[in-house]
This record gives sequence, C-alpha cells and structure tokens, in this order.
Amino acid sequence: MEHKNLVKILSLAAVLISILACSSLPVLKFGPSESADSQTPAEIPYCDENPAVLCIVSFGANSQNRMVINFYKPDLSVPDFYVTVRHRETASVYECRTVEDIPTNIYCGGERIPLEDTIDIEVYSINDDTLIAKGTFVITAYALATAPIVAVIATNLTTSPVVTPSPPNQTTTSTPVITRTNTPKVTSTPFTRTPTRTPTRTPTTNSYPNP
Amino acid sequence: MQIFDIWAALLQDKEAVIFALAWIGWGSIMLFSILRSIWGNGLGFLESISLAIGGSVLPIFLAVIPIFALGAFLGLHITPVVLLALMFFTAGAALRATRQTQDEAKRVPELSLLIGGILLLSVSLRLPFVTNILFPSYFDSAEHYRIISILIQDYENASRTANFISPVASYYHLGYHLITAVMTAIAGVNLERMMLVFGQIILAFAPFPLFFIVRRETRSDLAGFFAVLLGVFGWYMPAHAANWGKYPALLGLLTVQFALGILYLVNEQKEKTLKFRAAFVLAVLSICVSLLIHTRSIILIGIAIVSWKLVEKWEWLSKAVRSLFGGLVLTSLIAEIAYLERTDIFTPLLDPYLHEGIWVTGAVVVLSILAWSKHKHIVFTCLLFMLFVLSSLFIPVSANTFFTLLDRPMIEMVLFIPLSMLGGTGFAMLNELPFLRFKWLKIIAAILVSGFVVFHAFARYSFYPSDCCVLIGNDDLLALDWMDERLPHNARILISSSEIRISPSGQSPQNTGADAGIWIAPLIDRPTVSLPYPSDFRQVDVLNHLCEQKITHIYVDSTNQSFNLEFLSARPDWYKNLLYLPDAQVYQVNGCRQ
Repeated sequence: MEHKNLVKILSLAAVLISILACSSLPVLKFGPSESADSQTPAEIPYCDENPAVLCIVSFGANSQNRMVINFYKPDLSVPDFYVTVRHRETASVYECRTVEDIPTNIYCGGERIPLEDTIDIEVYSINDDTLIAKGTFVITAYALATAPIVAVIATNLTTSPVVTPSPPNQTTTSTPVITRTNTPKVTSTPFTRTPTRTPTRTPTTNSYPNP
Repeated sequence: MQIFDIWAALLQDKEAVIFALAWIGWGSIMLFSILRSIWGNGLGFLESISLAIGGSVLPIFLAVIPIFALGAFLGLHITPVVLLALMFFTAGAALRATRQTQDEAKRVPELSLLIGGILLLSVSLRLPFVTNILFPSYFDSAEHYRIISILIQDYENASRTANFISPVASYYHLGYHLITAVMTAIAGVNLERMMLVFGQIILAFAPFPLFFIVRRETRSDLAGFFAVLLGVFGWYMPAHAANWGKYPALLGLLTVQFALGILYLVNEQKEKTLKFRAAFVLAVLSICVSLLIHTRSIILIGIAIVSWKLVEKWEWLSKAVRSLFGGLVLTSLIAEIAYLERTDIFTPLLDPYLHEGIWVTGAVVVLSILAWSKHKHIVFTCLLFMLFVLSSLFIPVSANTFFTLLDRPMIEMVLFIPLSMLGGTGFAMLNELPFLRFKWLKIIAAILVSGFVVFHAFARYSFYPSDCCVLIGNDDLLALDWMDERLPHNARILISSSEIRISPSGQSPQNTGADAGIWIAPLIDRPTVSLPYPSDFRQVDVLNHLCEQKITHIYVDSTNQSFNLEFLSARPDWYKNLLYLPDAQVYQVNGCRQ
C-alpha cells in the first residue's frame, strides 16, 4: 500500500483537515459597511462586539480632566480622522493620535463629558471632513474608592445596553511584601535585578502556564 | 478556527509571511541540494526534504551573518527585491545541480505537490494565531524584542553613526535574534509582527523533520507522515510555546532534529568515506548553530546521543540482562512521571501529554507496544531519552539549584519528539498485524488512527493565542503611547513583577515583569523598576522604598498579576492617577518629600 496509496491517503487526510478547519466557518460576516450604501456612515460598535470594523476599545480619563476615547481600526484604508462628540446640543472636537508604529490603534482626547449623559460620537476624515462613522453612547460611571478621578464607562445605545469593562482581577495581600527589587536602571537589562531587602517568597502561581 | 482568519493574517501581515516563508523555503532548498549532492540515492526524496526543512536554519544563519556584518559595519544594506532575486537564483541553481534518478524524476512533481500542499496546510493552520494579538505573548517576548530592536538599530544605523551597541551583556539566544533582526530589517515590517509570523511559520515547519528518522527506521513513508501528523496535531505542545514567547527554543527544535538526523546518518556510515566526512561536518555545523539558536539544544542533542549509544550497548547484552535493564528503565520512567505528577510545581509539565492529550498518548503507548517487536532500538532509545530528559530537571548546573540542565517549559515543549517517533514507528506495524489480513483493512486502520488524531486536535485545541499569557492589550498600547508623549525621559516607572516558578528547589535570581509594564523599556525607552505584584501601596514602607528608588510613576493594568488598584487608590495623597482606562492606569508618585 506504500507508494500507490500514499498520495490518495494523504490527500484524503488533507481534505478531512480542510473540512474540519472550515467546520466553524462563520456565516459570512463582513462589516455592516460592506453591504451598506457607501454614503451611509458606518455604525461604531465596541471592539468586544465587532473588532472587524472601526470600533471603540474603551473610554478613559486623564488628570487634566479630559476624556480619552480609545479606537481600534483594523482596516488601514480608513483615513486619519478626528472625532466630534455631541451632547446637550453642544459639540466638541476631539483630536486624535495614532499610537507610534501601530497604525491600527488611535486615541482621541477632548472635553470631559458629565456622567450619565448620552453622547453622539461622529468620526470625520481629516482629508475632506467626510463623516466616516458614528455611534451613540451613554456615559455611566463608577468611582474608584477615594480615587481622585472618576473612571468612565460608556454604554453603546446602538448595540448592547450594558458594557462592563473587565475589572482588574487582583490578588490582595494584607501585609507589605517587598521581596526583591531590581537595579536602579534597567532600560538596557530589564531582567537584571539585585536583592536589596530581606527576600520573602511571594505567593505566585507557576510561571509559563498551560492553556 | 475561522477560515477567514487565514486570509486576514495574509492580508494583515503579507510582507512578514512572504519573507519568513521565502527564508525558510530558500534554506530548505539549499540544504536539500547539499544533501542530494552528498548522498545521491542514499537518501530518499521525502527523507531529503524532511531533513532539509530541519536544517534550513543552517544556510539562513550562514547567510544572515555576512548580511548583518555588511549592514552594521560597512553600511551596505540589501534591498528586499535584491534579496528575493538572490534567493530565487541561488535556489534555482541549486535545484538544477541536484541529481535525480529517472525513476525518482517521474515521482518528483507528484511528491513535491504533496509536500507543498501539506506545508501550505500546516502554515494555514498556524496563521490565524497572529490575527488576534497585538504583540508577542508573555515576558520572554519583551526581552527578545528588546535585543532584536538593538540589533536592527546596529544593522540600520551603521552608515550614520557607526556606533555598534551590544544588545546583551552575555550570550542569550543570539542566533535567533540575529536571524529575526535581519529578516525584519530587510522586509521593512514592524518587529512585533515579524516575531509573531516567523514564530508561527517555525511552528508549522517544526514537526516535518520527525519524518526522517521514523522513515529511515521503518522504511515506511506512511509511518513517517504519521509521526509528522502527531507532531502537528497530537498535543497542544509545541504550539503552546508560542504563547510563552519561546521563539528561540522553537527555532532550536528545527536544528536539533536536523542534528539528530545527520548524526543518525553518521552512525549509519561504517567506513570513513566522503559521505562520512561530509555528514560529520554537517553534524558539527548543526550542533554549533543549535547552540547559538538556543543553548539548551546541545543538552537535548547530548541526551539523544547518549541514549542511542547506550541502547547499542544494551543490544549486545544477554537476554536476561537486557530484560532487567529494560524493566529498570521503564520502572524508573513510570516512577519519575508519578513523582512529577505529585509535585505541585511540575504538574503542568505533563499536562499536554497526560491530561489534555491522554487519548493520543494512550494511542502512542499502544503503538509503541506494537513497535517493540521489530523496532526495539528506536523504541528503547525514545524511552531512555524521555527518562534522561525528565531526570535533567533535577541536575543543577550552578550553586543555585534553581538552574538545572533542562527546565520545565523546555521539557514540556520537546516531549512531543520522542512520543511522535514512537507513534510513527508503531504505525508502521499496522501493515504487519496478522489480523489485518486484507489491504483495505490496513487502509481503514491507518485512516481511523490518523483521523482520530486530527479530530482530537480540532475538538480540544485552540489555534488562537491563549488568555494565559497575553500581557499587552489595546488600552496598554494607548497608555504606553500616552506615557511616551507626556512623561519626561528620566521618569522612573514602577512595574509589577512576579517570581519565576519552574523549579522546586533554589530561587530564581530574578523576578520578571508580570504585566504590560514589561514592554515599557523596549517600547518607550524609559527606565523601569519592578516590585512584586502583591505589594501593598497603603503601607509607608512601600512608599519609602519607592522614594529611595526615585520612582516617579507607577504602571498598572488589568492582568491578574498587576498591582492592586485598590491599594493605590486608597492613598490619593501619595499616588495621583494621571490616566485611567479600564485596562490600564498610570499613577504619579506624589508622597515623597522633596
């Protein structure tokens, strides 16, 4: 059976693997903009819901009382843009910046929006002021305990009513644990560290975890 | 797996895919030509290809050194078009010079198509991994990125500054870094994308050299292909190693398997002919390159040689002593496995093989029993190899018993090699089972066993990045860019760290970054200082320590080994929040007296 059937058996195996690979083939789900009228601006989803189109990763804030909107742009043909945020019949322009060397990640900063307000976000091309995409979100909020700033969460009205960002999953300890520190400057050798205090084992999980 | 992600990866990273494939393809063709010119008909077409894929790293490495030297020291930089043209013409010339018999020439197009199809399929299965990830996973990747970045700077900046920066204080897998640096610089792609794509392409090619020894031992092409199939689909290793950023070790898998294949050929030569000398030179070269790609490769090669030679001696013993020694090895292996399973820190080691992959391992055990009657040498060598590899976990190589001959992640990665060989060798015995009298029964048995392995893989394993090890997300990227723009260059940033726990004895002399903060130094060039992630920032001791270290900022994100936000927000007078995103925060340390 060696050489005669080798090609047949392996071809059959290849077909089987291809069928399995395609078995979870999603129903053709190109972005909504594919089939829509090219003049109609696309709807902006959260990236958790649809990372295949221009989407919002998160909302944040900085200490200068500015709101930060984090966008993800998988399609690099989407032109550079700025953002207009409308609320209570006023509009503010948010300037945007592309993360250095990572053209898919853009963030925009502008006026802080009061909590619980509904905002309309419109994304315009810098080149010709064409409206590229838009979406409506509600800014809800929770305050970090005794924190000086308030974290901002938004809800996309056009998609799902509640979007809760994943909370930091931390392990708490009650006693100060300063086990080891690194050398003062580690820019060139971030793995080189020297112990400066009494070493104590930290309660860690195994390194290099399995899936 | 979603089929569209293969296309998405090809569209998103087409330059990196083309260049990585071109390099590996070129290296394979060059070595194929060398092997054929030395051995001629002594090596089968498929044997030569499988061995050449493993050894492809040799010509690549030998080409990369002068290219890098020309760029770094003379400012002569090769363009992508010139490189691809050079590859095309040299590979073409090498193929034209390759000897073929008439009989073989008839089968070459058919077999080339077959191998090409299988390789394409293997690459296609691995590519979706890169679509859902921004940067290579885990903390190893950040260090690889940093070293390669410096090498790229050295390569590109020579004509302007002529200042060569040494990327590492001591040797650290420099072979992998050099190859990736040259590949990235010539292709003109982002380093993180090349690391991801090249890693997946190495992974796609890594199981192919398994064909060689199994084919050579059993004289069965199907047995060789089954060993490859086990390497690709049998267990979630070595694929999961990409989630650990173990790219040098993955590349080392290719060179190790090539070295073992060539050593097998050296062993076959009874007389010191030209073939022997050529094989010997190739073996030495492959061992040197393996050492440069990944230091511990040489330990694996050494263990394989010792195992092989011991089995040769064992075969000369009387039957009673052979049985005694064989029983002793088997008992030791079982005892070792039982001990590892009961030792908390080693439990993950056998997870791919005894928990997630128990059915495939079980099938391999059955096939090994079948193989024992006819292929004792290879079966016993594999058992001995596994025994020694697992034992090497307990052999310290320095005063600190943390450092052992091989470590847990490395062993977890390589156990698929002996297991796949055992499975492949046993598969050959399906042809000789007395109850499979008819040819069609044998074919059905072969399809059933192979189908089971493939089906098991698609049902159990993910072809996407594991959540366990992704440290950097979209919010982290924003925060890093924001810090790069807003924070002064002398800002000293505190990042979270955790202890490296892979050994039951001794203690790692270094902690390692535990969240996206590990990427601050390589990406935005700010000095970082680390502190264990459970540190309680409400305590004055911790604040004093930060002040002593002149820490100006603290980076926190949402990975489960980052700092606790509640501790920081509990002392707004000491720590001021500068940037808040759901998955990344930057704090300023305000509590130190001026």
